Amino acid sequence: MKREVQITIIIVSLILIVAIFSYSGLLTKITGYATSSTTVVNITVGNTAPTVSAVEVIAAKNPTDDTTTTITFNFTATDTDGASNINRSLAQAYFQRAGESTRSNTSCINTSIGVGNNINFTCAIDMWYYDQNGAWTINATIKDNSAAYAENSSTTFTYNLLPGMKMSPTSLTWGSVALGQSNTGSNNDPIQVNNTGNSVDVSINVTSYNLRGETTITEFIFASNFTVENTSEGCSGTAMSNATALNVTSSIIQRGNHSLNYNNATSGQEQVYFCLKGPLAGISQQSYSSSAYGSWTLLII
Amino acid sequence: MKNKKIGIFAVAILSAVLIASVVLAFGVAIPYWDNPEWYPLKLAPGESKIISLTLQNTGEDDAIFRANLTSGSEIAVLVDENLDYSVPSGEVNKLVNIKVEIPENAELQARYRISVSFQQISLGEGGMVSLASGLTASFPVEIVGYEESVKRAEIQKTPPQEEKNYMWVITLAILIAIVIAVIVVKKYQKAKPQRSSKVTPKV
Repeated sequence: MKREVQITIIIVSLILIVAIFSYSGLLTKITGYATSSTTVVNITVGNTAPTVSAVEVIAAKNPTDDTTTTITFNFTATDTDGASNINRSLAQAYFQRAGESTRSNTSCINTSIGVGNNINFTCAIDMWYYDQNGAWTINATIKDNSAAYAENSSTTFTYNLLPGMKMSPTSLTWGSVALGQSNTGSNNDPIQVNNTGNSVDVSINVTSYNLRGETTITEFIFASNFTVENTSEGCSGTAMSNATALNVTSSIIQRGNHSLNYNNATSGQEQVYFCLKGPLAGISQQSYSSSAYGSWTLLII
Repeated sequence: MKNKKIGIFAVAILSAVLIASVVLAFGVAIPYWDNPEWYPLKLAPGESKIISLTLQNTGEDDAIFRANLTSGSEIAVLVDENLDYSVPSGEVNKLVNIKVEIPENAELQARYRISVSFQQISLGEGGMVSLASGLTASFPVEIVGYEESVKRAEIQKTPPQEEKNYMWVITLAILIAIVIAVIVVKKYQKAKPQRSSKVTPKV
């Protein structure tokens, strides 16, 4: 009985070893090839479609303020018919998110000569500053020489949030204003505020300070003499208050491509107008400026 | 008197022409948000984590921004020594570090908002109404159980593929070792009676 158990163990082990060797291809090397003879064999072999067997994990990426962010990653294409059957000029990649423009590279570069059945490709794709934050699907595709197609869209990467702004000009001027004169708009506004990131529903707060005389420093134009608004130079906006942040009523900035320059939410832009309400009284003729109490601030929230 | 002109900003006009062409563009990248979907920093009671915001200056000139924690001070603090961040033109990776520390007695599912304002420090131009820009960077924090915490997620990273391959090799080696052992034992058992017969002297 003991002898029978031992024989069984040996037989099972041998079968196991043969199976492993066979699976790994080692058995073929040990036994060699069959005895050669000349014969004609016609075999029709169907093309096997390639696969995108691996896509590199992309860590969370920050948008870059006011420009593009290039995201580079690798993927592996596999074809059981051999790497040479993979069409190296048809490796493509897409970043996709519902409701967003797809970002793509239709000519990814093969970075390996093709070992066995695999070829590695490197793709660089530009994401724009106004692309939505959140999870984006990575879709890598490949075709073989018979145009059989494969894709892998099983992974995503995170595109971060970026509040950003650009404004111009960065100062306000009025030229000359007569005493008693009312409703004088700045002669170099509006201040153009561009959303240079991907945040949405952004509002604008303005903090103003009293202007002090440049010559007679005991004279002021108080901040409350100025109004701010986002529609036009109509001088009907919100009256400001010294050192107080005030919301510019109904100013909302959305994300968008500000190069379109529509001057509205579609292009991620907002315009801000300033007006000296007046009438001014009790002060002398001189220049008044913000140099004493600091710059006025446009803050996006 | 009525027609008397007040030369407001008369001095400022020239300076303004020179400086108004300067364009300031900057942003702050944030790794958590609540729009378009709820994507908060998730921490468990008693946990702490350093979160980095990323200041970027894509404007034409170097700029200095002053950071100020405007909400969330009950769980967060700005930890950098100098809170005036000098950001050269073109720099897009200036880190601003915030330590978020959740009290042990924080209630699960409680939500906080951490806000940091960044304001351009005035360059002090005289003779005009100069404008500075600023923005507020905010992100949500949610108190969760340890299972959902971002700290736990960091610890539980998938083991690399190589480790699985090692397991396969080890299994194979063990199997082969067992087979060899069985063969050796078998041979030993066969050889033993022969050796004893040689050693035992004949009487």
